[in-house]
Amino acid sequence: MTDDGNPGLRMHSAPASLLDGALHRSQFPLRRKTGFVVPIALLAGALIGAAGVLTLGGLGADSPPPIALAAIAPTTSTQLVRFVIHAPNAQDVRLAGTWNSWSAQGERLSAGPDGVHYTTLALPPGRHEYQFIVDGAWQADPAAPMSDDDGFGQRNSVLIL
Amino acid sequence: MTNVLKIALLFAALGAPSVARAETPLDAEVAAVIELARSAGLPVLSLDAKAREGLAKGVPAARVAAHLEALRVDLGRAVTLIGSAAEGVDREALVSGVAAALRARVSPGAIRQILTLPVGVRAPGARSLADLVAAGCNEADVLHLIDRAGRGPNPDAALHSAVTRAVTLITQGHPPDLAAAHAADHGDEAEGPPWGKDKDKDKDKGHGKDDAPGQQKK
Repeated sequence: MTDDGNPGLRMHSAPASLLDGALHRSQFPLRRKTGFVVPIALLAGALIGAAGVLTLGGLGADSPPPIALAAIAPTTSTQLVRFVIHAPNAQDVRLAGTWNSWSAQGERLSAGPDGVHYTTLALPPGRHEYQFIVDGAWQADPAAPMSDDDGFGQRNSVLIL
Repeated sequence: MTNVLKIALLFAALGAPSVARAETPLDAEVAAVIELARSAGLPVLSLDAKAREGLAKGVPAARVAAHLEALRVDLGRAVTLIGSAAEGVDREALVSGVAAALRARVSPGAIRQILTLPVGVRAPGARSLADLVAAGCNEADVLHLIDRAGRGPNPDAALHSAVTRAVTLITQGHPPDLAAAHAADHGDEAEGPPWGKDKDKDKDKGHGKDDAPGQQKK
């Protein structure tokens, strides 16, 4: 999507191959073109049941391991957001953004199969900007719904919860 | 005497801007811009946050300072535009939101309309106006979306719902203008926009089966 008249924000489309297992907000229907940053509604907690574990859809036969949402224990003022990036050759993938003051030592993503790295965070409602740090290199989320000029020659991914 | 001096320095540090208490001190050139803004009565949290972002990303101090200077000017323009409309509002959020709107080339008239909203939604309204216009939405459509949500019952939730809806529609590939217009009137609905429902009707008009009117296949 172009932004000729509005250079500040841009829209992106997620590669379809990376969206197959994404769990979307329960109030919105699943769409192929939805961005890859997937807010998981707190209603997802209702699906956990007695087991206390919700397995999120994977990207093939070997899905990312189940995560214990009960351990995250989001409050009513936060939403669970799953961040995923496809970086098959990366050794160290991290996530930094406005919620952690852009700490370069921020959230380290877990490495799943097929070169996918992921993490799930509980974030408060509002506007968040972030980037991945792939082997020390800062980069925007290629599948984020919006991005914004960071003022330093890069673009921050924007997430609105 | 030494203990008194230490206590005095401690109180001075506690009252100083966050830049003085930072674990990693900011470059003097960067700190100077923030101090200039603070002395002019401008909110500086956004400047401090942007400075730390630059520091974390390894951006040269001179470049960070230059960008902060541009932001400082934007904040000043925002304060002038806001005037007395900041009373009773989260001033930092409102000024930052209006500054972002100005950077997104939103017209001053549109911003002034946002400033007439109920106090609690002026700041998020300004920020949403900036984000959606910068994303390609028509300014008038976004104003309609924000105004309608902001003046109804439960404006906070309504605004959040409408903006989230617009963003989701745009993410799904719908034209920004249509997405904003639809979200303004159907912010709480979970279904897609109406142009996707009557697929046969759209086919007769030459549209693809799943395409919005702005996405005709060539």
